[in-house]
Amino acid sequence: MITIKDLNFSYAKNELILDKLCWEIETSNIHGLVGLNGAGKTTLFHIMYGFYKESKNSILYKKLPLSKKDISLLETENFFYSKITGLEYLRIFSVNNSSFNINLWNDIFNLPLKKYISTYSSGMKKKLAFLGNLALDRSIMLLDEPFNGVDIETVQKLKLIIKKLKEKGKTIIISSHILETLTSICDTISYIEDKKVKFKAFKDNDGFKNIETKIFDVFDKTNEDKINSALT
Amino acid sequence: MIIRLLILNLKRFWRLLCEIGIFRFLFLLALFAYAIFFLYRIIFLYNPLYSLAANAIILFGIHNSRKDKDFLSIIKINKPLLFTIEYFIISLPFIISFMLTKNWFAVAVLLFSIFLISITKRTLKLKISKHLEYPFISQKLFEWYSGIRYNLPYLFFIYLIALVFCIHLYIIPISILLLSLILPSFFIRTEPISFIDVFQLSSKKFLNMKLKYHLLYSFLFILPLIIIFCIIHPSNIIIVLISYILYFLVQLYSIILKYAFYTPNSTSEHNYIFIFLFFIGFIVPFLLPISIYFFIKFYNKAINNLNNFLYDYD
Repeated sequence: MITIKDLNFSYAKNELILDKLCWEIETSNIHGLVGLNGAGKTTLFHIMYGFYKESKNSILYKKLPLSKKDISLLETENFFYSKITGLEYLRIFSVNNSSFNINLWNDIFNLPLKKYISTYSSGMKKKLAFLGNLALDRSIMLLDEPFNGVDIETVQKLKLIIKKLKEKGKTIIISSHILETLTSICDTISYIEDKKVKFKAFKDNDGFKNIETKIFDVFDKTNEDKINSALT
Repeated sequence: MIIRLLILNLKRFWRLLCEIGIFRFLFLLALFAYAIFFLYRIIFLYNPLYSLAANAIILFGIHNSRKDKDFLSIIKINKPLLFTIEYFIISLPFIISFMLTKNWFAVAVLLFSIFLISITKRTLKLKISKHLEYPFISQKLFEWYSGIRYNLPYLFFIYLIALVFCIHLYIIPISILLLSLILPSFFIRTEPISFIDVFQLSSKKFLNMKLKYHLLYSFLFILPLIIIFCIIHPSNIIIVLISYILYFLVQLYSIILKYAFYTPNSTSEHNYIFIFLFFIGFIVPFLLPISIYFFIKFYNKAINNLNNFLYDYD
């Protein structure tokens, strides 16, 4: 179990981004995290990954503070060191994992690994960063918007890999602002709003019908009013 | 619009100075004054042609590498005018020096060169069609992949000059000093956290690993030059030894600086200022204690800073 209890976080004084946030996540499952832009999903991921030393004790994994040794993070916007090739990039990530077979994994995505990353499209960069995360082989994987900018075939491939990783015992936490991308693979979906995890839904017989209704009903009502007044 | 952009650039410059700190800013100011005095003497003593050429090369380098040209086109600004004003400000030490020597012809030539560079639209690019593989470089020093590819033409040129003119006593030591200033550019860009996390080392061990590898590679890089110098000038080994010590310290300092100011995914151009000051510290003896002080201070700062990211591996 990963437990986050009373997590407060702010970038500037008196501007809380997360306010006494609590969240419990079962291990060896796939968890989705949805929320509007700026709701704090990425910040929460950064804290979980350990960007901020002072928040270390607010997150427990198997009753101990969550360590970087256990976790990897796929960022929304991945930064690539200039003038290096895809192969060199993956070799850096597999420096402590000799069992990671770069060629076998790349057979799935067919990336031109001998070319500079700067020549890749944004979707290809995303795939490369995902492979880098796999090479790290950590037990918890944070995937921040993994489906952004990738084609439909790759979305299916990513989903399949994520499901297989779950079977291998990995805990995967995926953020997205597009609910539909999560409903088919996640075991739970949590909704973040007003600096807190507002609710957590479990997959039932109808999938995530309840959460979809819960979120979209509110959105549609408020947005329709605003659009109508803007158009008039 | 041009005034707004100039003010914006001034603000950016001011923010950079604030980052550097007031004492270092005053120090830089003193150094700037000294630069004018130094240029004045050079212009007075030697041919001003050297100063004009140096200024033109610096400006062309800036103009050629600036990445805001498309952005300026989009906002429909008068680019030549903006560039002229900016390059005029950058050239002020030279202009003041020429004016002090009442060399109005040189002032006119300099202003004309500013104008010519400002209206140049083409960007000169050195293209290497096929990228080179470096299987001998360790993943632990990934900066070298990128650094060598970026700087290959310059490194090649300096190395070639050193080899061709190695018979002259000072060519190899000067080449080593020039290389000592190019290699730190490998470390101006910073990596994402995942790149440092992957090694699973404590901050001290990580820093020492980087230092060890960089010092080894940088030593191997200039070893042929040192060997050639020792063969050709066996009675003057002390000269190449001094230049190597300086080279070694600058390399050490460049890694320390990178991690002392490390924030993920950024560039830290202001590290050049520290490297330059450090370099000067070994040429102007009274600045040496300051250089040594910063060296020790930044080493500890680098460990503390890295500890913010690698605390789990302690």
